[in-house]
Amino acid sequence: MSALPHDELQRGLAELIPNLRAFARSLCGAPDRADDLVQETLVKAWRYQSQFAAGSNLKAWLFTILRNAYLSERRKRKFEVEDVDGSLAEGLSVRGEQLGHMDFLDFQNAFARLPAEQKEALVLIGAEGFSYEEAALMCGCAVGTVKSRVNRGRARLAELMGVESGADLGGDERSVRHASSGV
Amino acid sequence: MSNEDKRDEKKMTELNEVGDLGRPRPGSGGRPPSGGGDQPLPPEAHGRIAAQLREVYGQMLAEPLPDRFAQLLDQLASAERARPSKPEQQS
Repeated sequence: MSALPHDELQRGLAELIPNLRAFARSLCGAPDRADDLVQETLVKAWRYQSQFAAGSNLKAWLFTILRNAYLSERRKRKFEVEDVDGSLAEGLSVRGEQLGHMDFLDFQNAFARLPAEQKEALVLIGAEGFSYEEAALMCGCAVGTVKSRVNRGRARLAELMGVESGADLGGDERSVRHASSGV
Repeated sequence: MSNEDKRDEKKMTELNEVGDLGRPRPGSGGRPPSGGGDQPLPPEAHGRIAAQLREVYGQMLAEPLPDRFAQLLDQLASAERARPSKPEQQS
């Protein structure tokens, strides 16, 4: 296994910083914490660069480092606060717990409510375009598990946002209101 | 088991095709809401969710970068140059 030359690694890392930031933001919501995760990922990638095989997928390797850093940080936090997924500590603007039918969330607020493993699966597959096989390797789980997480995540988003077929295709007041609120 | 996997595989392929086209298929209103299970969404809902995910993620990708990351990479690289050769053997 041959390592990447330092200048190539530096260039590769620099190019992927926007992706690492977007992935970190998707997982933990809070911009500051997300940037700390990106920084930790870059430092670790540099320190363990001899473990990266030149020619393999640098983005997949970096994303794996980042999600592992996120999960281990979250495990540590679990001992400190009851707020396991960090959503309260991050000050996310989540609306009331009991969602009435007239009170749908926008995409970002709905996404913030998903469990981390669904956020991760949705981003890897739906936004970054990794294959199910790649995502399964990165998450250390079976391909079927990734598929199930993606489907559950999408279904939950649709539910929270009120875009399920029943609510959406009827052309009732709700969908009109929802459509116009995006302007 | 394997039959189920194959069925899932097929469903996912269908959904991906719809998602890539980004266009809802007509006549999908007859299916009941999924209610948060792990069944795939109807194409109309799936298309909208997929599009919004890409849009929101794309906005994050396009955000300007703070200087701290470029500085960090420069620091890591110059620390590397300052080190004695063959760093792998020392750790």
